[in-house]
Parts: sequence; C-alpha cells; structure tokens
Amino acid sequence: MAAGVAGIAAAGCASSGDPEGGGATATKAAGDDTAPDVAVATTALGAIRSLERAVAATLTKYPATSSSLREVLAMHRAHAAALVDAVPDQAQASADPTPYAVPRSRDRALVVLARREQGLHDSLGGLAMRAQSGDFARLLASMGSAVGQRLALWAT
Amino acid sequence: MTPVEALQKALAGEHAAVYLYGLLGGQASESRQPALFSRLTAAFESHRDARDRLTVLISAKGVDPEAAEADYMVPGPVATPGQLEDVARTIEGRVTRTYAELVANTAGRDRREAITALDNSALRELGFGAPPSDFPGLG
Repeated sequence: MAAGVAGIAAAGCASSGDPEGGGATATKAAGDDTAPDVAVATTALGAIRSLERAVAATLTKYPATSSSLREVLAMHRAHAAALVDAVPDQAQASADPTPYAVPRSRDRALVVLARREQGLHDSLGGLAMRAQSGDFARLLASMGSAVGQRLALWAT
Repeated sequence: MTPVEALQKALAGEHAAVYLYGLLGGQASESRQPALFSRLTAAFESHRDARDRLTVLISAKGVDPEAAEADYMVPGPVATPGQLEDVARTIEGRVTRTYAELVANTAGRDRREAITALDNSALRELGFGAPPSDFPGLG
C-alpha cells in the first residue's frame, strides 16, 4: 500500500489538480519548496515524525505496553513513507529532532500520547483542506482517518 | 470528476446505504442481538442524515439531486449475525472510498464535509469488525 500511496503523494505535489474541476494547474517540481503542496507535505511529515518519535520513546520506556501501540508506530511509519518522497531533502534535514520526554507514569504517558494523536488527526484534516491537489488532499484525509481509527481502538 | 458529480456519487452511495441498512435492521433481532441491532440502527440513522445533508447541498447548487433506485443488490447473505456484519462492513468500505473520492474532487466547505464523513465511515467500519487501516478509503 505504502508504495502506491507514495506515488499519489509525489504526483499530488508535482501537479496540482483543480479541485473545482476547472483543469489542472502545473506547479514547480517537488524540489521547489515554494510549491504550496510541498509546504503542506513538509508540515505533515514533520507532525507525523514527531508522533513517531513520541510513540517509539514511549514503547522504549514501557516495553510491556500493549501491542496496539506498536501498530500505531507502524502506521506512522507507513504515513511517513508515503510522504517522504514529496518533501525536499533540505526540509527533512532541517526538521527539529527534539527528543520526546516520556512522562514518568505509564498511564500518564498514554494519556499524553492519545492527546497528541488527537492533535495529529486534527492537523491532518486541516492540511487536507489546504492541499491544492485533490489526490494529495485525499491522502492526507485518509491518514487522518487512520489516526482516528487508532484513537477509537485506544479508548476501548 | 466535477465537484457536483462527486457529490452526486456520494449521494448515490448514501441512498444505497440507507436502503441496505433498512434491510439489515429488519434481519437483526433487537432482543437476541441488542448490540448489533443498535449499531445497525445507528448506522441507518447516520446514513439517512448524510443523505439528507447531501440532498440539500446539491439542491443549493441549483442541481437536481440524484434519486434513489427502486432497490439495491445486497452484497452478501444476511441470515446470521456474522453475515449481517460482513455486509455492513462492505457497505461502509464502499462509503469510505466514496467520501475519499469526494475529498479529492471538492474544495472548501464541501471538502470539509467530506473529510468529516470519511472519518465517520472509517470509524463505523471498525464498529462492524473491520481491522484498522493505515489508509482508509484508498486502495
């Protein structure tokens, strides 16, 4: 799935389909960070990687945490893989790799993580609204729904 | 696909979902399968509301909303609770893909509605026993 989605993301950033159906507007290549969808992809990738780090750090500190958290980590990695080709290398290199401070109690750590996942869900929906390319908007909205599904299972 | 065509396609999907959930609800036993009956009823009501919202949305654009068909093919047997859930999952999977397509073909308020509807149908898929997906509505 991820490879196919990566193609969508890259295509979404390389050419901008008019969501009103009035034709397509060519944008610059994905390497041009002034293209609006490249900026959206860069923001999305940064947010996803931040959560990926938070989940990984939580799992490292509390390895007995349920296997569903490992599936959340795999989801974030799949989402990052779908976006990585659309984001210029220099934007990825300049991303802030601030280490995630895992809360001292496991329960608190999961609460904080769930709150951050909710934030990511909302962010991806907002970025889907900003995307110029319809296909790229669909990808981001789908990622947001995937996060929503994980949050729903988390609560059960 | 134009935005109106995408909205009409979503409406057609909701017409089908309303019809099929009505049928599924008639097959489920409220006393013997209360949880399943409740989920089917809630899904029916959600799709009915979505159908009505889409009808208003399309009418507001000066276009005649797609009419419902007389009947719809049921995508599987519906004799047991497990089969009812299978069919409900199929319905929701189709609706999820349709809303993902609507996201791709709309902008502004219409896209926002589509994103919310995509979220909701992806969650209903889980409620009928579907595993979570990394990319709901794609593929």
